[in-house]
Amino acid sequence: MSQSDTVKLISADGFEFIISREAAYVSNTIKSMLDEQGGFMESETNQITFPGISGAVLERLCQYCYYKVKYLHTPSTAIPEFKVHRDMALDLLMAANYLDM
Amino acid sequence: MSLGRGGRLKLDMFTHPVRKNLDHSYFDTNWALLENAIKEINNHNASRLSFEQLYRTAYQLVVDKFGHRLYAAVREAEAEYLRGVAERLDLLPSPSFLPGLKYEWERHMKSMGVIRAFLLYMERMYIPNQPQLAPLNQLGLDLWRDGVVRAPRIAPRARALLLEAVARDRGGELVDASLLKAITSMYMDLGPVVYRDDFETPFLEQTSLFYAAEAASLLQAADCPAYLAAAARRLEEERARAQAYLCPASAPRLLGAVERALIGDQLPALLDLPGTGLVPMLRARQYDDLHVLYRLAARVPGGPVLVQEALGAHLREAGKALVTDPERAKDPLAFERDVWENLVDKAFAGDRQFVYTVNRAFEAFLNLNPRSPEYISLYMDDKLRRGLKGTSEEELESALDKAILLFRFLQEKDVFERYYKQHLAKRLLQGRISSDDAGMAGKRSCLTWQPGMGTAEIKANFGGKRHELSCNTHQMVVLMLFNDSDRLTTREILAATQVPDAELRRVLQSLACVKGKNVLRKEPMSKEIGDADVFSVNDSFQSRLYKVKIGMVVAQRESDEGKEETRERVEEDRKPQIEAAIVRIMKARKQLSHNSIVSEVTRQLAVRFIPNQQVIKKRIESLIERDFMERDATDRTLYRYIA
Repeated sequence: MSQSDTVKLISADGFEFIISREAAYVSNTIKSMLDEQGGFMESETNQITFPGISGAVLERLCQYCYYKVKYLHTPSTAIPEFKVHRDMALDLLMAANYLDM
Repeated sequence: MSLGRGGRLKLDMFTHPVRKNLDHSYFDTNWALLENAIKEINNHNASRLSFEQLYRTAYQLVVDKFGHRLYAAVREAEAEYLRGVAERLDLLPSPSFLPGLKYEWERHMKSMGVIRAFLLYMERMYIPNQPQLAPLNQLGLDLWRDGVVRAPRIAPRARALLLEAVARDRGGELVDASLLKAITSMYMDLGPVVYRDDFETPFLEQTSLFYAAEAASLLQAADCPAYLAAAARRLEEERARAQAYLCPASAPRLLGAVERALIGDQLPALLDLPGTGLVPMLRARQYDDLHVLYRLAARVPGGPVLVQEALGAHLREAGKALVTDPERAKDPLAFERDVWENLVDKAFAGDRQFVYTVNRAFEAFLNLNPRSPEYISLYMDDKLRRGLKGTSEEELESALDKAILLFRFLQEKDVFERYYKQHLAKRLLQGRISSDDAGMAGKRSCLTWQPGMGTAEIKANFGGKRHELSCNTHQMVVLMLFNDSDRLTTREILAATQVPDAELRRVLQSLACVKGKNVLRKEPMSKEIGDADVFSVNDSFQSRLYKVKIGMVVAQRESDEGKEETRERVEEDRKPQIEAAIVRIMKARKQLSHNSIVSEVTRQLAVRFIPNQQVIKKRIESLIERDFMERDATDRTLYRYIA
């Protein structure tokens, strides 16, 4: 199957997020998973299930991906803050470490 | 949000089925999943695997501090797989062995890439903190090196087959260059030490042996130009070979081995090949072949020097044969200076070292004959006397140029100068000046009285017939004697005129022995002039012309007497020059040993002549007598300048 422009990310509680491939590649882990060279299941279906990440965290991660792509070439002084809610901070940090982003 | 330090967090949110029971089966159960995946990946069968699951499992093991066991298990699993690879390769028949090796290598590298991808968390978070552990890509190379390439049943076979393929390639067979390139690239990927020890060193040894044998068989044909052409072709082939399937750093070492075997070791034998070696190529003026020799010799250490030495030796010998040959020594064109210049230009690319070699050889042989300065001047004199008769201005000029080219190689330039002035003076007095003389007479003028060089016209009666005789002063003086006497002997004429003996004999010959101009009668009638021969006016002299030009019997070259005289004059001229040099040196240095003065004087005067050591010593003694310098009181070999 050829590489589509979008990928589908599915959370532990069944929420599905369809985001652009460019945004998804902000995560090095996702990028490796979808690498055609590896020939894994995910690269054929363009869909990844994360049994360890909740829908709420995954949504915020997707937003971060788009945020990162948008401001990639902006001088750091002009980038607005990416706000993280205190209750979610730890989960978000761990998931980001897992996804290498 | 780059979060690189998550290792310390307790990750309770990631629920894994087995995660909660950290009993002794925890690692084994999770590893079983990864081990199976590694097998599937090595079999190129990953599509049923979930990357996310593998990545998460490895992640969890690292987070739960099983990193060291995971790394060891991965290493063992891959090593196990490679043992199988080595066994499979061992079973392959020779023609399939190298293709098999290439195939397995490429598979292994690809699999390691995939395995590394799902172990990235370990690579990123665990391995960097363990200095004793190689990163996974390096681990893959190390395992391949130890388990396959250096396996006892693989290593010698791989090398032998590889070298055999190169040998077939050199033999002109068609070989799969891309296969060889892949195998040598594999050695390169395993690191410079493996490439050198496992491939390059034996490869270069084989190369040297191959070309030593080829050189021996080529030499059997004893054809130097053919050998050179073959060597040049081989070098070109090896250059292409290096580009086609070797590490770029190997090219100079490969070419070095080939150059050594084909050229360096054989150059002396090649130069000496009878009939086709250096000397025959020089004789036949095979410029193109010589140029190939030049280019090839330049590629081996000491090569150009060998060629230069052989060239110099030949030229000195050939030149010696010329200058010691009484006839050819007189012809400066026989030395073919222009031909040799042209040869160095064409065959040796105008290389300064070769120019120097040829010049040194010319200097050496030209000065072997002390009469060389005289001959060169005589040759030019002859050309200038003839002027433009029968030759074009260009031809005359080129002949003079060729002779002048030799002038700079004369050590005794002052001798040449002395002769040249004499010859020039004669030409001027005899009215034989040509346009070129004007330019060449630029040096300080030095005129000597030349009593025989004037011209005179005499009206004479021969038994009633009147003639006007045109002759030189000596001839006139002799003829005038017959106004007072009828008969005179040679001895009487000599006493009366005081003309030098040899000169007078030639004058008498020109007056009595030349047919049609014999205004005197000689008894007895012979060509030679004897002391007691008797001369009288030839009353029966007849000529259709009123004006008769009496020629002079020319001395082809200087008589021995004249030669010695010239030599003496040159030596006289040298004395003040040597003294001036000594004084100049002593004035600057104040005190100097005898040997230092001699060598310094020789150096300063070498542009004009090589002074004789004894003469220098005499000049020093004369200067001491005249109080220009003194001997040191204690050290007798030391001199001091007296201001």
